[in-house]
Amino acid sequence: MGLFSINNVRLAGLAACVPKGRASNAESKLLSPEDCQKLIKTTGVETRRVGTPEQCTSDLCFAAADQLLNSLDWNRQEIDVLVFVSQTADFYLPATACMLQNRLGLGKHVMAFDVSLGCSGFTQGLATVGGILSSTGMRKALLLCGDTPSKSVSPEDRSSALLFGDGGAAAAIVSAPGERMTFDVGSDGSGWAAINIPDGGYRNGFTASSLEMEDVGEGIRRNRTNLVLDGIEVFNFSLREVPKTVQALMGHLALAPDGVDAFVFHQANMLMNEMIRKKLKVPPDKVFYSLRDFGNTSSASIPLTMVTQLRERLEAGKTRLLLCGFGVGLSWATTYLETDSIVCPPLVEI
Amino acid sequence: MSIEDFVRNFEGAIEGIEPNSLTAETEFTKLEQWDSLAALTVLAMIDTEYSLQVTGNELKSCHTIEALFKILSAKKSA
Repeated sequence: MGLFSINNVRLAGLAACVPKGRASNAESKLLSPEDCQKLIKTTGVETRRVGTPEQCTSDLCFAAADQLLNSLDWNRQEIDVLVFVSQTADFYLPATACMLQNRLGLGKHVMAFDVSLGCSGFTQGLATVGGILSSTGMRKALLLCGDTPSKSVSPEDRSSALLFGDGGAAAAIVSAPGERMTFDVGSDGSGWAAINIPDGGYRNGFTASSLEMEDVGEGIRRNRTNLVLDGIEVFNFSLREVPKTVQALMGHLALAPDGVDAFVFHQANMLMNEMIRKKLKVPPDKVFYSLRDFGNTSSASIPLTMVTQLRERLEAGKTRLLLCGFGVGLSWATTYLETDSIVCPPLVEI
Repeated sequence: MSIEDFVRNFEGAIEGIEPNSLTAETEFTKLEQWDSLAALTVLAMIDTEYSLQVTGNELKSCHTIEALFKILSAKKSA
């Protein structure tokens, strides 16, 4: 059963962080100036943030979490759970979440672990963290999520190099009697190869040939440690599953688009996201984007869009939100939640 | 659905293609404008206009617009 509610939890705060480094798609040398404009028009991505070689996802998440905890004025010893959702962890082991427990000055009683998910990660993470709080009696949790795709995408892969940006986010979730989040989640591992990095795990270990550049056609050169993105399969998956999961959740809650203040979808690309919006018959003014300035930032894309596009509204009062993450796995998670005057500091840049 | 309409829709889906410049026999993968982005905009058109999805392998198996149209026709009547 992919549909469920998690009771007695609420989102208390949200922060996001991006690297200061910018890359402009209009100035890309991968494509001709005409093709650059065509790509910007289709994908909606004008600029992306690119971290330095030293900046890891955990650095972005740390900065977002530090800012959020200061803004919330939380006692850091009161946090019980820390979950880090990423495909770009610091090390194979240990879990980055454990290192972040120490770095953020949290207590040793914290339950900390990593979750390996990307584009669906924020909403899957909300379900994970919410479920733990709701069932254990623990009270305060941090969900950190994000990725640094600039480190895994081949700079000579024009099918993906201009799409992705680096970003990290932090969400504070607390136990709250009477509050609820409702989810529809799913996975389809038959499509695992649509987004993957072939070498470097234990299935295909890293060898000298992992770094050999291959020309795979259509302007794509990459090695076997780089991200492989099968745009057509991802496109078909997204158009097949995303409207279905959103409709399932809305149907379950008897919600019409009118009953939602803001829809925030994973920021995949403008062509695909707009097709999804039209299939769902959601008016354009209810759907929010940060694609233009940040590109696809994997699991950070939903919170980054909320922080940059909805911050004042989220801080000012009640907001009915429908969030949907979808992608690598392949996997998806959609949630409906209502927030009330959450703490949402401005975007952090490091 | 007619092949004539499909050719016109195909032209409209790819930026930089002149109207009435393509035919059913056009080998679209040899067009200067054909790339992975054009493939996505064609798939988007097929989804919007015909409510059908074409897999990557199906698209790769086609050289002409007519071949793609035949795949769609078979899906529509299935």
